Amino acid sequence: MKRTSEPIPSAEPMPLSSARLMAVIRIGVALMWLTNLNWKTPPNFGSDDGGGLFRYTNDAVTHPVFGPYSWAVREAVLPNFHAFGWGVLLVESALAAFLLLGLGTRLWGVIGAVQSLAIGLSVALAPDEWAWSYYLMVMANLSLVATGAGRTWGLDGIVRPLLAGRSTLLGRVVRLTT
Amino acid sequence: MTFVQRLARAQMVLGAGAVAVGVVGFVSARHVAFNASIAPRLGPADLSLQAMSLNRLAALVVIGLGAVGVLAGATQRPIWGAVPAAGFALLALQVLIQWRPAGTNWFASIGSNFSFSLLGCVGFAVTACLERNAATQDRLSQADP
Repeated sequence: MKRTSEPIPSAEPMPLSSARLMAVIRIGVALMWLTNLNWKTPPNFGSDDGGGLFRYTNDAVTHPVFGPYSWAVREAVLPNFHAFGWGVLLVESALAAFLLLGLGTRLWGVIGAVQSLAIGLSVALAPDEWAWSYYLMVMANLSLVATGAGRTWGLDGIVRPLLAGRSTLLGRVVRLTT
Repeated sequence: MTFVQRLARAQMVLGAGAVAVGVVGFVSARHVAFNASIAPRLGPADLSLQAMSLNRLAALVVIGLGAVGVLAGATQRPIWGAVPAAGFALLALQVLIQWRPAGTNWFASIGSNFSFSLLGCVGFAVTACLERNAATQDRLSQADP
């Protein structure tokens, strides 16, 4: 019998069919971000008519999920709403673009999970919302991180073998993010 | 498949994807003016799958940039990859400047057009840079006896 202090053999590499399925999921998650950019319209992002991004952001205050988050939205986000709107537009645009490319997928998966959590903390308790949508969004983005889903049918599959072996800062960044 | 061949294939896939989006956009916009500031969105609305809006002018620009991207992959010359990267960067800038509820919008762009343009810009820029890097290393290794 092996001693408990011996290292456990590493898991087998992911079968190609599973890697391809994760690539399909990555593209699906990217399309989710892409198709939800159209109603975040600058320059007011809904603050002029109480709709759009403003309405959903304000839900964090009117239907609070987590007290400290609700306070932060009321005190920091809503007074600077235009800057926040541009930030959301740019981050979600980059999420869709980089996940579709499969470039830096693990980094963008983390960012997507954090953004999904923020959205969930804003609207999960608003009327006609299904809280599990946001749990699933967080988990779908994290699954891309766990599996390095850009290495199949994505640019991570080209960038990682080339750069990840280098002992430079770039090599470390590529190892962490792809 | 070599590293450069994989880069070339990535460029051809990106270029072909852009051409396909442009063709769909051109057909979708056939009932509005050539440079209309509002054009039909691509994809089925009832399935929440709508993304991007192109007038026929924008569709032709996207088709042109995609075709140059395919050419970049076919010729494996980094300079051809830089052209669509720069073109998509300009398209992304146009969205940021002109996407408003009303007013001038040369390409009928909406938020997802920005993301699509960013995809094209980053995708072609990264592949062109890696291709140039590989070509430089090849030259250095040939010069080194």
